[in-house]
Amino acid sequence: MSEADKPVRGPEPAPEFARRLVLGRWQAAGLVLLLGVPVLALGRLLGDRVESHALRTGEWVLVAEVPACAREGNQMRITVRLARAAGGAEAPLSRVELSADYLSRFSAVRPLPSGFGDPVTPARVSAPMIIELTPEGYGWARGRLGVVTETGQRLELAVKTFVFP
Amino acid sequence: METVLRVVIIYAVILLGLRVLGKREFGELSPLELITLILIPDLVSQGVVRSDYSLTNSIIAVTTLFSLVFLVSLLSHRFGRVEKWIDGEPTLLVARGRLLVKNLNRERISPDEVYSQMHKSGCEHLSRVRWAVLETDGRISIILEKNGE
Repeated sequence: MSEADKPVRGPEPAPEFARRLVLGRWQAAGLVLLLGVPVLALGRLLGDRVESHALRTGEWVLVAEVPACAREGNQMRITVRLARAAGGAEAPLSRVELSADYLSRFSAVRPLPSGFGDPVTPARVSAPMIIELTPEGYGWARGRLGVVTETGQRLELAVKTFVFP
Repeated sequence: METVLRVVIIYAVILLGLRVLGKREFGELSPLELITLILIPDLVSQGVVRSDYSLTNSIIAVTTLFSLVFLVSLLSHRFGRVEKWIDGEPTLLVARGRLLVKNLNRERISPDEVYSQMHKSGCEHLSRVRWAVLETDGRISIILEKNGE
């Protein structure tokens, strides 16, 4: 081993001690708040969660998948399905309505398939039907989702979505 | 959910990248290094926020980043091995008046830089330098021989 290759010990290394986590009371509280946000986001509680609402009557089963929370400016979707209680076959929707108080929180409401009116649906199409909406402002959007079946029966569900800023 | 994962991934990539680049990048920055660090936020911002410009998404991204910074510092403080991996270890550049060529090459430090730092410490001869150490923050510390040694 040449002189240049010899290992060299440097200056005195720093001494070691028992390392522990020490936090002040306010620091600990702030840390819980700080860590809480990504934890809530991972739990889909800050804008990605969809809730399923179901209504069963004698002849029909209505299921609506509505975002429980959404974020301002990000398009969201409501999916509406109607099925016969006997056999579970999907049934066509004659009309789908969202109440004005619910819609007041949204803009760019677009039904899919596009043959549906806005927000009232005049055509008969096979389920499911999707309504695309873009939240504006923030806070609760509460209202009712109404469906008219091919036999003329009207079904209604309460829906709500919290819009985050 | 996706924002949290994206911040975690971006943080890991940047941490790994900066760790691979070495200690030089953390000290005084050359123009090229400065450009690299300025460009990183521009390049990753779209990858993190995508088309979601809501306040909630920004808060999720920032708190995820702060949480990662805290967790890494916590692990780094609690476990010496993690600290060594994250921060690196100081590198000896000069020992008792002798340049350690292998270490200088590994850290991409030129003798001019060592001499420059030596001059700033009021020393004109390498023989008077007992230790020159590249610290983990990228700075070079000079320890002079005691008088009479």
